[in-house]
Amino acid sequence: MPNQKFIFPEQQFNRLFPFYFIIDSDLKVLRVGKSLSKLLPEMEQKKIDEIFIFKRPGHDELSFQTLGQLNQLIIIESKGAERITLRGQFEYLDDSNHLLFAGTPWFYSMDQVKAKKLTLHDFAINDPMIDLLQVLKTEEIVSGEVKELLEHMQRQKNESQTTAQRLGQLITNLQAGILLEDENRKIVLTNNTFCQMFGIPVPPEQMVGWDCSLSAEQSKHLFTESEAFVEKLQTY
Amino acid sequence: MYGIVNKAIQDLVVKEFGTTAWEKVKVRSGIDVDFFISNQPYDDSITYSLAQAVSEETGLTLSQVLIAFGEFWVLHTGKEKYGSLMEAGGASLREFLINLPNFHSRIMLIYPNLKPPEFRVSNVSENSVRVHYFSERIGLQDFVRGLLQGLGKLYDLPVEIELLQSRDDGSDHEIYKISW
Ligand code: HEM
Repeated sequence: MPNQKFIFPEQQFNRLFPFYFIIDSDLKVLRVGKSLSKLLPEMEQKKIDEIFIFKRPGHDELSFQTLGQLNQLIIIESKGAERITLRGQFEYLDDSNHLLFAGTPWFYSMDQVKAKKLTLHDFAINDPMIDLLQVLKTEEIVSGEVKELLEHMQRQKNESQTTAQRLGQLITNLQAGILLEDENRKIVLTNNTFCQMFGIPVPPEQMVGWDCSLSAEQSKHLFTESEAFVEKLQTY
Repeated sequence: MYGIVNKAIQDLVVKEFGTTAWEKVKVRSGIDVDFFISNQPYDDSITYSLAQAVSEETGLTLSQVLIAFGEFWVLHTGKEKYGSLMEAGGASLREFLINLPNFHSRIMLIYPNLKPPEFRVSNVSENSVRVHYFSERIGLQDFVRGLLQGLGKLYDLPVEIELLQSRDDGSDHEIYKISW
């Protein structure tokens, strides 16, 4: 049926595309779908560039010709306070030399839909817009929770950093000599008293990361009683 | 930009240079964000600082970093996180590029804070296409080059990319000619 024509009574067409509009070759609006006219009541007889800003495509010189050939997603936004976003496509109508816009308004939340005084009945039954809002809402809730979790973790991290700093300061100035190694015999922490005890001529912070199994051997020349130093350290 | 972009920079650095390098990049950039959430918007300056810090940390030029990032975006981020979306873009490089204008328009509606670039194609022939790139952001020409190179690799085609005009020489947008 290559040339079969589909002819719809307007009422039925309105059920399928309640946000449609039709423009003539001067880009003047001739007819507006029943739900779209609820949103933008005074479209008829105006030129589309008086009513809408083209978001996508946003950089083309738009003529009747190019709009008819654009085989592309169209995003337009109404001028003025209303700021209604529509997404859809243009189709060239051969018989009448008009362009049909078939599309739906785009909302970011059910609240917006309500604020525009639309209800479920204003959308075509086949239009998944409302369901998508549901999905977006769930996503919004989840990412809010993830954000909260992250902030919580960031706070905990900062707190434990502060605690570690305080403890570090306390240990540095403690009267007892301390040296803490990790499981690979690397120095994790030591303090002034320890350095003084062994006469180590470097500040304790600098010793962090030293390998204890080697560093005693390597640094023994720094000490007057070098062998005794190594021996003494091995016992720790 | 959305967190996914910063996260992709992180993934690239970790993959190529390791986690320590990434920690250094973060310190160098002065950014105190532990974790980027893909669908949260972040200030553009974070992305630019990260790219700059990667360049300083690795010794690559900023332009090399952006090219590498573009390739990574297509071959890893795109493929791993948006595999089917990327594949739905087209069965061949030519088809993908023709569909490119719709790509971000669709994403744009889902993420209202997105300021996505706009693409347009012209001079479509059997083995070349011109891609027009419009963006509110500056300095990302080499990122686009990397993306286009990545697409070539994705479709297993050796491509040649020529920048025909640029905002740097006073035009209002960039035009890349991609031949294969
Ligand atoms: C699955 C694939 C893709 C996804 C999900 C995606 C998504 C995104 C997102 C989220 C941004 C950040 C925009 C913002 O936060 O304002 C972005 C930016 C960008 N994308 Fe894509 N993109 C994809 C593929 C591509 C491809 C194939 C190209 C080009 C060949 C491209 C070119 C760009 C450019 C140049 C930017 C930088 C922003 C600018 O210039 O203003 N993207 N994209």
